[in-house]
Amino acid sequence: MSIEQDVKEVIAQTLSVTPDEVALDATLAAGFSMDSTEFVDLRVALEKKFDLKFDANEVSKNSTPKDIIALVASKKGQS
Amino acid sequence: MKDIVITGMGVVAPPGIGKSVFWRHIRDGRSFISPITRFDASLYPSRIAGQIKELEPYSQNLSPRLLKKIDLFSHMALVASELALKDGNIDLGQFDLKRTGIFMGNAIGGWLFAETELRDLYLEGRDGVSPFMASAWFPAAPQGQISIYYGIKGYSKTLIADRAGSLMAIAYGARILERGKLDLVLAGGMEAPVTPYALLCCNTYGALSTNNNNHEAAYRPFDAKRDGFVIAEGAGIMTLERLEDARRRQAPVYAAIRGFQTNTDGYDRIKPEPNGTFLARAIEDVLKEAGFSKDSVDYICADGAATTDGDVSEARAIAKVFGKRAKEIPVSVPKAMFGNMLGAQGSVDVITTVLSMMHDTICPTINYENPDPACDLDCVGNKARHQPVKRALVISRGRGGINAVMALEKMWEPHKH
Repeated sequence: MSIEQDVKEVIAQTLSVTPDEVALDATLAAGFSMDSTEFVDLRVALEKKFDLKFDANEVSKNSTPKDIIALVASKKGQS
Repeated sequence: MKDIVITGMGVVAPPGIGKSVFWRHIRDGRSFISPITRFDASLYPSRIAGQIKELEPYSQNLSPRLLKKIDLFSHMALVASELALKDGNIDLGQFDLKRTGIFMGNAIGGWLFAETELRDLYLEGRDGVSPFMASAWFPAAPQGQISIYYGIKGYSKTLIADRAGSLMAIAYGARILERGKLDLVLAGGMEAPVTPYALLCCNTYGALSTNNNNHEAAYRPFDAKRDGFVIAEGAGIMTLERLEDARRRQAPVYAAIRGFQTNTDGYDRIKPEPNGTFLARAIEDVLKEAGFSKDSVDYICADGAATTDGDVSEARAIAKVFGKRAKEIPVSVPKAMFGNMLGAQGSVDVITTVLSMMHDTICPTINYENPDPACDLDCVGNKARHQPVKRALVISRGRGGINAVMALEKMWEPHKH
């Protein structure tokens, strides 16, 4: 699985939707109506999935799935 | 209490979800108690319960995204609320949501969610805990979820009073309606005690039946061979309105709440005061408030704890108030069929009593085979009794000596559309 697929999978699980429904350019707050608790849920799920640590402001309401894919790739040294 | 009426009823209970199927099953006098299957309960002294097994078909309007954030007790409350609103033919778009309130009762909160998260806290540390934990487990969570789901914004409250919580919540909501602060109230209770920790607490309380091998016969109120009650999960929620408002919108009107009184024994942490002195006082007070003469009460839906202390003190309280007539008033404990829903039980007892009024039928107390001579009552045992019920009392009691009594009067006016 690529980082992109994995990130979409984690976001999909957080939102209880299918990965195909995760639009790469939608922001978490406006596009997916995520609330503050769901940001925490997503951040923790990403940390577990990729064995990384994120600052609270690295996954925020203005983040898009594309931003998160880039962030994970960067932290994994694959950017 | 003047002209506060029940206009819609939603029930989620082991015998059935929705008032029609619930009624059809409880009037037959069957048991819905079964061995606990949600987790391995084999080492618990009491390992039987009334369990909800078919919630999903009633949850089509609740998204998976919402359900992962809430505990079972909130889930059942949302289903029961929707059923009550539909039953009352209520379109919330026609109501001022700032003048709509929610009054709920439960005893223990949402432990199915909380327990697994606490386990993860100790196993995995801080990051192992779901961020939804904080908003999922606490006793007012169902109130919050109902308010968010429907956009309800009026005066609301959650009451915790052990097994008397939801009866108190209904009364509280009725009084706020009476004062004119609200136009519509959703009232009732929910409980989800079939979890490893909650079951442990219920067991250590020492009032549960351990007749696991004969589970259908385990809960036997007022029977000399009783050994405690059986827990159950479920929810009972109703809509309350002022009679004139209900009539204006041509709503179904089931019954009026004529009075409610509560007091405390001030006696013991677990046991009730043995002579039922303060329960008797609560009954006297509620009769006075309701304007019911002692001759006019034609049914009592008893607490029926199926402990010697509970049953005998309750019977003594009824005898103290009604004298010789105590043996002529039909008393029953329909929850012996499906278990005691703790904080949700009072509201389910109210729904059961209202259904008895509608159908001129008193639901039975199953397993009433060896009448306890210390409880000299007209206990309707094993088979339903066809008899009109116009005025009834519902009794809920809780640990710490809580006594609560509600007076109901039949007001059956069908939906007119």
